[in-house]
Amino acid sequence: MSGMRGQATSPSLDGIRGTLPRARANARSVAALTQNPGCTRRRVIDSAGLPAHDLAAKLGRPTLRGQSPFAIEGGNRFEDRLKERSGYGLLVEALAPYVELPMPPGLVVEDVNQVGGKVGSKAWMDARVAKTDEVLAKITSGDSTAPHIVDHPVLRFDLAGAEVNLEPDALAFRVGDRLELVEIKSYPIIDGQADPGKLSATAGQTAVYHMALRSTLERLGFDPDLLVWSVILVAPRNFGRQPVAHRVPLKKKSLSLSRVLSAVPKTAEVLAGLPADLTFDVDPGGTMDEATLRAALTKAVQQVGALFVPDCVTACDMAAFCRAEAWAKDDPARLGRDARDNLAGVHTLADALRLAEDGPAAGEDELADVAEALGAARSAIVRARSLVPTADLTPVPAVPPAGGAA
Amino acid sequence: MSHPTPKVDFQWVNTDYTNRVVADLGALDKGGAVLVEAPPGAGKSSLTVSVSKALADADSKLRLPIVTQTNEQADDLVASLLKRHPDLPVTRLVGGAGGSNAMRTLAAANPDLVISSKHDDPAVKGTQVVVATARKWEFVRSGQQQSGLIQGYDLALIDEAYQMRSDALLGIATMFDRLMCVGDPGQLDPFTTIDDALWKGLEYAPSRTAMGTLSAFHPDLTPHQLPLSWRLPPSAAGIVSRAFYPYTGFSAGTDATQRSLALGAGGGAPEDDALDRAAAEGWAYVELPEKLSVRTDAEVATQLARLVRRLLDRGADVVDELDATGRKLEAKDVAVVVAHNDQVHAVRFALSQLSLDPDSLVVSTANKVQGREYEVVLVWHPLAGRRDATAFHLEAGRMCVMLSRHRQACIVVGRAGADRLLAEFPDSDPIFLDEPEKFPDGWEANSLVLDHLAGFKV
Amino acid sequence: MSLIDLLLTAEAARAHRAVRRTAYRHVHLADRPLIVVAYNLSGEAAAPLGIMYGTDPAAPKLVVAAEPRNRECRFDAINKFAEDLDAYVRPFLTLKTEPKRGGGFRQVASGAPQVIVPNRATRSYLGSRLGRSLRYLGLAGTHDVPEATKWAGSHLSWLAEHANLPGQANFLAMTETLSEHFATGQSALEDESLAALLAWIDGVAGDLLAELERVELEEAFGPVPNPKWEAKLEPHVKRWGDGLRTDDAAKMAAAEAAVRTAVDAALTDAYAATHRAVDILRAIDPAATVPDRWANDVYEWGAHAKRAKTGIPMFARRHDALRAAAMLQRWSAAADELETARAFDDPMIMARLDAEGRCVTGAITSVDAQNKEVKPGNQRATRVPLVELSLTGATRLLAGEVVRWVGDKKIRGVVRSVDDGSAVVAVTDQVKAFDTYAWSPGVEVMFVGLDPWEGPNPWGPDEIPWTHKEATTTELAGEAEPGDGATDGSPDMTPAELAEVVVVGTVAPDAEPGVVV
Repeated sequence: MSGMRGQATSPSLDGIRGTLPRARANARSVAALTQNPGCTRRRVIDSAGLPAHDLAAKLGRPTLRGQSPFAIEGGNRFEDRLKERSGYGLLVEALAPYVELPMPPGLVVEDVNQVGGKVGSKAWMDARVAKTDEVLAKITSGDSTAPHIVDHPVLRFDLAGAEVNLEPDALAFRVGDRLELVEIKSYPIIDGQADPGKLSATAGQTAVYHMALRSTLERLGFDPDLLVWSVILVAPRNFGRQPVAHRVPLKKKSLSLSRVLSAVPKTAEVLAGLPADLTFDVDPGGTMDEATLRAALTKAVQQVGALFVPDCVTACDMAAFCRAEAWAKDDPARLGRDARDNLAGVHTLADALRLAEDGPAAGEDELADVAEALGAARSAIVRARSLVPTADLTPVPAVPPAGGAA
Repeated sequence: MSHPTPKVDFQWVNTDYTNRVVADLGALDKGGAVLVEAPPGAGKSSLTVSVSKALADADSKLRLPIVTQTNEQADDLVASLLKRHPDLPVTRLVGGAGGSNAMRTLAAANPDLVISSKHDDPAVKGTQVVVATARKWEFVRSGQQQSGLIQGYDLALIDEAYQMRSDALLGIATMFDRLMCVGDPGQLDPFTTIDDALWKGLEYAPSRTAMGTLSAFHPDLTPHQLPLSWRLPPSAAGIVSRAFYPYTGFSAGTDATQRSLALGAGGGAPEDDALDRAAAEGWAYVELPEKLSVRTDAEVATQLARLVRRLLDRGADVVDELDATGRKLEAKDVAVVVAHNDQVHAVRFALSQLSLDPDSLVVSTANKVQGREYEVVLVWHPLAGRRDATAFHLEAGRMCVMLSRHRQACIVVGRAGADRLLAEFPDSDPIFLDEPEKFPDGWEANSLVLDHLAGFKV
Repeated sequence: MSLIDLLLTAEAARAHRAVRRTAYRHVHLADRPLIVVAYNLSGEAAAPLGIMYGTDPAAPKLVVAAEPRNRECRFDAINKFAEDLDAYVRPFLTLKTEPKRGGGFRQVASGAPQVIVPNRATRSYLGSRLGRSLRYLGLAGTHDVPEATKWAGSHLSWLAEHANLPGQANFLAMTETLSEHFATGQSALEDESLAALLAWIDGVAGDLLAELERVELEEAFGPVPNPKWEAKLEPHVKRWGDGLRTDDAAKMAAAEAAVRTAVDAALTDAYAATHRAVDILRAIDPAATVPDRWANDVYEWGAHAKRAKTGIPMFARRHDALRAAAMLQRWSAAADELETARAFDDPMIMARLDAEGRCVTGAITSVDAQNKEVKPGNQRATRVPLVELSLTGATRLLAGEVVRWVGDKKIRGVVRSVDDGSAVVAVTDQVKAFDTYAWSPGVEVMFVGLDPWEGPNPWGPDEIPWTHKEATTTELAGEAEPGDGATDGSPDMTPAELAEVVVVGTVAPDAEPGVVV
């Protein structure tokens, strides 16, 4: 796919990253690939391992997303209760509708965090990967001393040539002849219902774990189909801290993930269209002031096209930057994919208005159809407004904000 | 293409399945059901007719309700019943607006056919088979409830059960102790216009399909699978089965030697390549250059119209297992199937521009041609000219309907760039707890179809 | 997004100012609606940090829970709010007797509450979260609370369910209502921020995008607070817990004051903005059928009020099969009726249907008023006038589709034929009314493809049939049971547990609870 010619005229991913620190891919960032596969900028940033969060800050448009400290703390406590505090007893209880495991002390747990070595070091990670492999092999081969639960496993897999370590707070264990994946989340399940957006994010992430676990099993010489195509989600029930479990199917999420990952090699085609000297490491020496850096980086980033759609705000650290760019370009996609689709080749909102008001200009024969439809829509608006004289009145100027409690 | 060699004929399969179904029905306990899943053109209505007849013959006192989803389906079924068994006493139970013109015509030829809006009419009670929509049956149940007495039926037949919503079944099921449900799981699902998030995850969610609810509460029900399509030629059964029925599968009931579409002399016209290829191989894919367009893309409409015009100008002899001597292809044997109403208009306009009467053939949306069949079908590919694909464009059921209406050949008109749309399609399906995943997956099915069509590009 | 909406959005984007989507206001606004804004502690399902509410823009009430994970603290706040909510709602529980059509009398509510919140998320939080968390309290050995709190749980539960009815005005979310009436130059997702929506509608002095970005980073109108704001609040919340454990009233009071100040400042903006949204809408003339829909709201509220006569009305955790089916049919029918009513009330909405091709619009070319046909089910021919039009716009209606004349909804017909340039409409209903208008050639007329079902509906079944249940019924649905709340749990934490809570501080967006590295 690449070939010598490509090498000479297109940038390399390493070149684009330069000396910037490599961002570690995690399940969330891998899953995010499925959210907007049409965005070249996102693809380049992910493939090059660029830290999008830092880029956005340097570009002067820091990420809009945030996490509450209360939520983080609550999540940690919930997981702690299920595991350490109850000797995993609470977790076993929650899982009971789906899998039968012995209660402690009969329960055997392997905590892969406890492999020794400096926490967070490369050696520690390698040891955890090795330990996870070892335990998985033991479980899968039906060893009677194998643990029922593997906590803090590390799964290593190859993402388009880059080595990715995934650290599920998920656990795998064997029940009869199958392996189950478990994910603990701290959002509530109230009367059997969870927030669909959060659930979808969970399914996306666990699909990544699922894929990594399958590939690990394959690497170890086992049948990946031992792993069931679902995850058991454990989350707080109703308003308290008691857990409840639900099985969430993963087949569709896994399908969409694998088709996006199989398209990753196309990154080479994407790079072929970019200037050979492109780099996002515009200030390797760290000599530029903030404004100069911002301008230089903006110029570099804008060489790579983006597809900004409203959903980006919930999934991508670059969203604020891309949105401002979409504003400047007057790109209809920022209103949504259906808006862009309906405008069939009209590239700006201003053009849509012009075509509606004046029809196609010379050389715009291609747009005759859409101009006609826009024109008809505009006449309908004009007619309606003429029927009700107050229809286009904007509200009376705001009174000063009400006094409130003061 | 490989197909099972010992060819069985339609009658044999129909009798075999009728016997199996009737035997199963006889063994059913109260609160039980027999399900039959039928791929396109598998002889679903023949089976319904045969089973009705067998049951009626076995018990002269039997009164058999048949539930359909639309008035058109009810009319069609009554027509099939009377065509095969003119002596069978049948009622077409209708709503307040009365029977359709089609029913009036049929009644003129079959004086014993009862058309009534009153379930308790003595005339209705004198018939053995009573055909009405689910909505009408719901009014019957409601009326009986108000009078304080539900008159149960031992058994009812539900046609097109996979297009029935769960709440429609809820509305009538108290009247029926046992059910036979027949349908095609691959077609378009019924829909709701309001947000149904509140009921997600509930087996009885009213927005689910009736069959979804029934099988969730009765997981031991194993449907009969009709194995053969008598409509789709061998050239089509493979791809339709792989893309839309990946778990059950089916094959063509006929073999390639039994069908042919012999076109009249051609050559010279730009449409001839596509027509020749479709006639010879069952498929042709006409791919216009990539262009972003409005939904009513005039170029696609014109291309479809030209293909129809040229097809009818050249004429064709249609040979199949029912008529081995062949007959002339007529305009009514041809359908153009599109995704949206406004595309219907665009095609009709394009046809009239070519001096063809748009009413001489069928131009319609996928939703409205469910259950219909034609010799040659032309399809407006839903992704043609789109900038972004939505779940609507990729809905497996719609594509399945479009690609499974023909007996001889299918010609698809699209635009280049559909593969890009698939590659850029975002995964944005919300997920709900305890809600089963829906298969086949629209993306996968569309991808298989595009790969298939690529082999028939002209 | 329809082309009309796209054009309105483009107009708004060009002017940096929202434009009107409708000519009239399509919701009822009460004289004194109850405005409610709230913050919930992140990480908990229903643990309010603060609720600000009131009918007077200048005098809201504020309840604050400095540590909502402590039961006393949380219920101190909730009980006060519940008492005031109950006091607001109680007058509407009074029933009056009025004569029934066809003789006899019936009891109806004299009015209905209207609760208005800033956004959809707050509506769902107040109703489906907070209301749900309160409604089983005191039953089957669960934590008991004052009567008013139980009533509030019941009322909020009614409002939560009723909010699903298309066109209802008992429980309004201003982002939803404003977006129905105004088009901004941003996406629907961005319109879910009331602060942003108001910036578009009221306009801003400087750079609009800069203001929208500021609002996005800084403003949070609830129920989820801004995470950075929560990080600053965290030490105060912690301090309150420390004070409780060490029995240090001064420490608790100081912590409470700090939390109150922060919550007050944040919610005051949200409260004022919600009132502002109401004012903007109030200035728009109401559409003709708004009173009918409000009358229906009052009627449906009456059912709740009637149940309330014999005690606190109970709600099942989930709908059972019968109720789910009944509600789907009810709400679908209401959606159809609403679409039709709005279109006939409001030329801007009718214009949208026209531009979407859902009308046949054109100049009359000929009229055959004496045409006679035998309608299905009839024996004799009746008069079916034919109106032929020369089309002035594209339509996607097909032959056979039912239409109504835009000038008079009663006049119903069917599209007999339609081609690129012309269409024939056969008038099938209200021919007498048809005769009262002059259908002269040249006159431009419009028929719209709307046909809501107006006939009777079958009664719902009175028992769940075998197809819709297992031998054992589903645990969640059916009648509300006294034990329904028994397994709900609560966010309660003991002082000892609160002491263990660590202060996390600001968190990176990708941080994941439970990842211990």
